[in-house]
Amino acid sequence: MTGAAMAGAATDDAAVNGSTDGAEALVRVDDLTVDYRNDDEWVSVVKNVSFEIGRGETLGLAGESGCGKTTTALAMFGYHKPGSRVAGGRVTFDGRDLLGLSDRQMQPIRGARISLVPQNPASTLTPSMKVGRQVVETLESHGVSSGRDAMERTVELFGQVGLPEPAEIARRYPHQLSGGQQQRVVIAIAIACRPDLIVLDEPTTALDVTTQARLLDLLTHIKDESGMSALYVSHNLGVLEQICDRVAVMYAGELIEIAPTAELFNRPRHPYTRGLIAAVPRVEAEHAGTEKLRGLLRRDDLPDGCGFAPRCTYSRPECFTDSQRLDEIEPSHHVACWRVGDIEAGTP
Amino acid sequence: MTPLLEVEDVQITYRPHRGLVSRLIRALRSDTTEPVPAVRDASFTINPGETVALVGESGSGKTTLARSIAGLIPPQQGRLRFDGTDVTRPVHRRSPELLRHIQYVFQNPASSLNPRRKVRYNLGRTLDVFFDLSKAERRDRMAELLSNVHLDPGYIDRYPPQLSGGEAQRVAIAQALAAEPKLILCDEILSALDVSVQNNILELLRELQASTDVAYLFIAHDLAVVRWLADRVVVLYHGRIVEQGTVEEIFTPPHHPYTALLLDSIPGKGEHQVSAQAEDASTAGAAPDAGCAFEPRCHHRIAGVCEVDDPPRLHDSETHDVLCHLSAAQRAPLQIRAAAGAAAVTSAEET
Ligand SMILES: Nc1ncnc2c1ncn2[C@@H]1O[C@H](COP(=O)(O)OP(=O)(O)OP(=O)(O)O)[C@@H](O)[C@H]1O
Ligand SMILES: Nc1ncnc2c1ncn2[C@@H]1O[C@H](COP(=O)(O)OP(=O)(O)OP(=O)(O)O)[C@@H](O)[C@H]1O
Ligand code: SF4
Ligand SMILES: [Mg+2]
Ligand SMILES: [Mg+2]
Repeated sequence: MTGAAMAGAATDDAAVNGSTDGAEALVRVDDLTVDYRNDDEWVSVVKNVSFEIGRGETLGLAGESGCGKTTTALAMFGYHKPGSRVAGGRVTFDGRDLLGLSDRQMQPIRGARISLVPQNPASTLTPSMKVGRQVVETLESHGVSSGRDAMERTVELFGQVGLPEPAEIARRYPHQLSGGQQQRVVIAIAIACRPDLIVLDEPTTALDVTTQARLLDLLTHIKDESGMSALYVSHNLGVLEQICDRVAVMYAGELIEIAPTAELFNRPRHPYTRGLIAAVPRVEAEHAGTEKLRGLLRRDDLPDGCGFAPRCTYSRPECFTDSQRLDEIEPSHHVACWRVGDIEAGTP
Repeated sequence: MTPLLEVEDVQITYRPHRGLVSRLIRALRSDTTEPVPAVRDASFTINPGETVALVGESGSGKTTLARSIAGLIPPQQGRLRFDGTDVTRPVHRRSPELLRHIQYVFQNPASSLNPRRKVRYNLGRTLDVFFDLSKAERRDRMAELLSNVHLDPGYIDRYPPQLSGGEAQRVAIAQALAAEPKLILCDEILSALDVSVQNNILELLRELQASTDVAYLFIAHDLAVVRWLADRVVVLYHGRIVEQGTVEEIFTPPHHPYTALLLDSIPGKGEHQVSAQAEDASTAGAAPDAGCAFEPRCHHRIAGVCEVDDPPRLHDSETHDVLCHLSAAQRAPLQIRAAAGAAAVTSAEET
C-alpha cells in the first residue's frame, strides 16, 4: 500500500505543528496513522502524528513504554513491521514520499542517506560475520570506500564510538561483545556513511554514563560537522535535554506536546509532560515516587477523548469525550490539552 | 547468617575460537598471547533478601559475572556457593531446584523469550517446569504475573515480536518471577522502560523482596536507581572489583577514583559531564599490563607506584573495601560534582 494514496486526510494545520521556522525541513511527517493487527481487527497505535525535522536539527521523541515511539521511528525508515499497515498520512524526506517507495527504491536511501539504530541493536548484526567486516560491507555497498581503506575507516569509527582496542574488536563476532559494545558497533555502522538523517531508538540504554557521554559528544560533533539531522527516541529525559534542539512527547499513540528543548523542560505544559519530568529519579536518597504520575498507560482502557484523561489530575468530563489537537500556544510550542490555560494558573 | 550466594575469587576468561584453522594460524604466527580475563579475583556475597547492585562501564564484565553465577560460563578459577553448597558447575549439571532458585533476566529481553511462541507459552512453560498447577491456577497465576508487570490480560496472546521494547522486557521479568526464585540476576532490566513504568517495577521488586525474601543481583547503570534500590554496591572496572560497600559508603566519600568518576558523570541538567568530556578518548578502554587498571585515566595516580604495582585491597570498614594505592585519608578530598548534578535534576522538577 502506498502512504500517498492514503494521505488525503493530511490537513494544512498538520504542517504547522512543530514547524521548523520557514526553511524547507528535511523530514515532514503529516498525519501519520499506523495500525497493528490484533486478532482480526486493526488497532491504531500511532494516530495522526505530524512533525518536522529541520536540516541539522535533532528532534527528541519521548513517551511511556508502548506509546508508539518505535512505530513512529520505523515509519521514518519507510518501513514497518509485519502485521502492520500505514492507515494514513505521509512521510516526506527531502521532498520524496518515503511511504510510496518500494523496498527496492528504498535500498539506496537506507544506510546511506537515512540510517537506523534500532531498539534492539543485537538483532541487526549478522551473528556469523565479524563485526569489522559488517562495517566494511556497509561502506563498500554504498561506495564510500573499499578494501584496506574501508578497514582503516572501520577501526577509526570503532575508536570514535569508544570501543577499546578497536582493531581487536573488529575481528570479533557479535556474540563475543558485551551488550554495550554491540550497541556501539551498530552506531558505528549507522554513522559510517555520514547519513543526512539518523534515527536512534533508545541507542544508549545499555551504556553506562561515561560511555553514553562520549557517544552524545560524538553525535553532536558529527551534527556540527556534517549537518546531520537526528530523530532521537529515548525515555531518558536527561539525555534528550542534553542533545536535542526540540523534544516531542507522545502519549497513547498521539503527539501531545512539542517544543524547543529548554522551553519544554522549563515550562512543560501538558499534564503528562509535567508528570514525566517530575518522575525522573534523582541521585539524592529520596525516591522520586510514583504519585507524580498516577497509574500507567493502559491501551485497553482508552477514552475517545484525551488518552491521558483517566490519569490526569486536571481532567474534566469533556476530556473523556472530546479529542484534543495540538495547538500552538506560544511560538513553536504546541500542546494538545484544552485546559492548558488553567494548568498555567495551577487550578486542578 | 549463611549468605545466599558466595562468589569467591572467581576468574573468567573467554577463550578465542579454538577451531583448527585459527589454532594453526596462531601457531604459525607464534601467537602465544594469553587472552585477558574478563573477570578476575571477584569475591562478594549476597544475603537472603538483599539487593546487591553491580555497576561499571560497558565491557567491564558485569554480564560475564552474572552468566557464571547462572552456570552459563564456567569460571577458570574460584568457587560459587548457593545456600551453603558448592554450585560451581554448568547449568546442565544443576538440579531443577537450583535452576528454579537462580533466575536470570537477560540484558537483551528478546533472548529470554521464544519469539515463535505466544506470551502464554513463554510464561506457562516456566510454571509447568517448576510447579504442579491446575488449569485454573495456572491461568490465574499468569494473569497475576502480567498484571504485576502492568500489562493487561490481552498480552497473553501476543507473540514476542508484537511487543514494544519495554513490553518485552516486562514479560521477561514476569517469566523470572514465575519461578518464585531465591535470587534473580537482573541484567539492565530497566533499560527499556520509561520512568513511570520503571518506578512501578522497582516498587514491585521491593514488595516481592519484603514478602518473599528474594535477593537481587542488580546490574544497572542508572545510579539514581541503584541508590534507591540497593543495599550494597559492587563496582567493577576492567573485570576487577575496585570498590564495594553499602550504598551509603559508595555514595559518600572517600571513593575509589573510578567510582568518583562514575558518580561525576551522571547526566545532569544542562551542564555537561565535565570529567567524561574532558577525558582523552585514547586512554579509556585499554588497560595497562601492570599496576592499577585505572591508572591511565586516574587523576590521582601516584607516579612510580600506580603504574608499577598492583593496588592493595584496603578495608575502609568491615563492609567497605577499595582497590587502590591511596589511603582513605588521601581519597577523602576527591571531590565529586554528583551532588551538584543531582541538585540540577531536582530543579527540573520544581519548575
Ligand atoms: N506487531 C505488532 N502487533 C500488534 N501490536 C503491536 C505490534 N508491535 C507493536 N505493537 C503495539 O503497539 C504499541 C506501540 O509499540 P511501539 O513499539 O511503537 O512502542 P514504544 O513507544 O516504542 O514502546 P517502548 O518504549 O516500550 O519500546 C504497543 O502497545 C505494542 O504492544
Ligand atoms: N564470547 C566472548 N569472547 C570474547 N570476549 C568476550 C566474549 N563475551 C564478552 N567478551 C568480552 O568480555 C568483556 C566483558 O563483557 P561483559 O558482557 O561481561 O560486559 P558488561 O560489563 O556486561 O558490559 P555491558 O554494560 O556493555 O553489557 C568485554 O570486553 C567483552 O568484549
Ligand atoms: S591505585 Fe593509583 S591509579 Fe589506581 S585508582 Fe588508586 S590512585 Fe588511581
Ligand atoms: Mg520502542
Ligand atoms: Mg552486559
